[in-house]
Amino acid sequence: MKKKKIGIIGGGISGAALGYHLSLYEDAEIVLFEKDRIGCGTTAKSAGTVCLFDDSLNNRYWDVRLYGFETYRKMEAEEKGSAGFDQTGTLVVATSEEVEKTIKTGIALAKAAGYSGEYITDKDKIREILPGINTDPILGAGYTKDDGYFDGTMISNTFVKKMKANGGTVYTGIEVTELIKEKGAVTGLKVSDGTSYEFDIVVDCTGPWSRFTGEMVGIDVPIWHTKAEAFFLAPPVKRENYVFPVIKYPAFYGLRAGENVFICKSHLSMDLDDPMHAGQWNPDLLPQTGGTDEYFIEFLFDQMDTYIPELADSGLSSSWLSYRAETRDFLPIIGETPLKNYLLATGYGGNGVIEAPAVSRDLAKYIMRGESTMLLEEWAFQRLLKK
Amino acid sequence: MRIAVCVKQVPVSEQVKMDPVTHSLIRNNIEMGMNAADCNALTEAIRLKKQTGCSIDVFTMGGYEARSVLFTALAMGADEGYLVTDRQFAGGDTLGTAKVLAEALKHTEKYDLILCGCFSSDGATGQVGPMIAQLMEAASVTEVKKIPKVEEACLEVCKTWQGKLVHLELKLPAVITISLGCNTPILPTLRNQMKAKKRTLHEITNDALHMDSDAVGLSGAKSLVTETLWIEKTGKHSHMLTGTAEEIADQILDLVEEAKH
Repeated sequence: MKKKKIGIIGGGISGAALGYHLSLYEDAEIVLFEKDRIGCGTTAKSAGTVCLFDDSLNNRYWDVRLYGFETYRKMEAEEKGSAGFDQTGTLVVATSEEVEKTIKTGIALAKAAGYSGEYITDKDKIREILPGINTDPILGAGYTKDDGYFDGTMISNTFVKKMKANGGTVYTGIEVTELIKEKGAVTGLKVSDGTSYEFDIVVDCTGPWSRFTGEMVGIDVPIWHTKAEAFFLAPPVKRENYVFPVIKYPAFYGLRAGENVFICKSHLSMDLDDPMHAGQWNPDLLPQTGGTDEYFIEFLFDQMDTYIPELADSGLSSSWLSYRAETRDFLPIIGETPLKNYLLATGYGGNGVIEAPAVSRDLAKYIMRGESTMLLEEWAFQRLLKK
Repeated sequence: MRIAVCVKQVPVSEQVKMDPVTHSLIRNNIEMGMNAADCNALTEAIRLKKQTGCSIDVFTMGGYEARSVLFTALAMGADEGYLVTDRQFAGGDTLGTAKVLAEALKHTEKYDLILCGCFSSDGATGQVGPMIAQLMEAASVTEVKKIPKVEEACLEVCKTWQGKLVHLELKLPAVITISLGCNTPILPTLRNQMKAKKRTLHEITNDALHMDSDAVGLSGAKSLVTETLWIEKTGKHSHMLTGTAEEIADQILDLVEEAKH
């Protein structure tokens, strides 16, 4: 059987999920290149929240969210810890009637899929789920006990393990230095140890690095870097047997991180035209920890003081900065590019862990069988060219 | 009682690199913060403040960017922050640093107790604290774990000496260096950080101290770093064993068998 040779650049959640879904095809020969370790980079700094309902992804793409969630639940059921699932439940807070509508739609969709969900207006009940909350400025909150957060690094490693079991090859610590182009099409790539590889298709899954990867073949990958500034807070009150849920507000989200609370500005609240939020930077220069901006402390304090005053009195334990790869419409770029045989699976922004399974399922089908899907058509590179 | 705490801004990242020519740390794109032992010293001072109602002034020597550790100190509970800064102070060795800090302390207030961390994580000489004591003709004890008793004119401190915990009594004024990890450092809250950011810091330059430029900074340095050496890696490394219990057991068996050969 003649196999289709596919090279994947990047071993984060995007490349790992695609590698696994491609490896399910008998006639696919896959080689994945990761310049560092599997599941590092942006993936390692992801919060990994895959909630049944919140505003991180429009309800139009509900099946994308559900497929991601169920893929990881299945992974976790197969091998405990392989997706790093922490079932804390999620509280999605309605600060306006518009948000309230989105939450209620999400709850209906979750319930239709067999999960629990309720919209709560009883403020005492909300305070039971999130003590320390200020319920005055909110209308209500959606709550489910069924979801929580996952571990993007564990998931990436599990996908890669499965891909290797299916015959895929993985090179870590190897950087792609050149994309080989012949007659207007990509035919292979060259890596840091000087070896060249021939491929029928090369898929760029490098997230925040994809602008640089694209430059190798003269493709301007239209992504911006937005700052994911995260703070780890040590709450002033320790409560016995209390589980801090994933919390979602329009401008920020939070989850438990051991005894601390991880808080991050939500990706949809980023303004691509604000130089404090977005720009074109070099992710290789990011420090492992720290690097957050002063404005972010002010932003965070204002939000906490307004919505969860107890967290405003938390100790600031540590912080980090990550770059998200974001497009103008905050949706990823998937599939064909103007250059033949050079495909993209990038620009997931803050939603890589949510979206990668469904995208990879569809993209693998497209690569192997040439069949497109509604998702691929809506998230195609071409939509950005038109704008 | 008036307490002063000397703190230093250091890299708190593991991604630290050295400049092979100047032998100094490359500080770009790495997280900077208050030296860990200085956090312990300030925490001990704040504990004393709660006990005695004393005041705490915090001093740091460095450029404009070093202000951030003073804001952190204020958020932790210090009363005033002093940035000791001047181009003439730059490039100094430990003695030059101690001279400048001692002058800045004397210039500001008659302190009863001066606390420093026992050493910095970037230089790790442990010299600046005792040097300040010598220059100020104050009593000194290094690597103190706790200050159990403070009286008007004397102080009791605990430190480990030859494997035993010993209690020492010394007269004030005194300069104490505080042991790394002897307490749990106070985490500044978001609210206190916001309050601290609005505070004004005091700035002390050589215009106020009138120090001889040949005695401080690079030109006054008595010691010179001529070489920096990297610690050889041991070659030891760790692996995470993953899989089912049976798979992990098989992997352990393989490792044991491998080690036999």
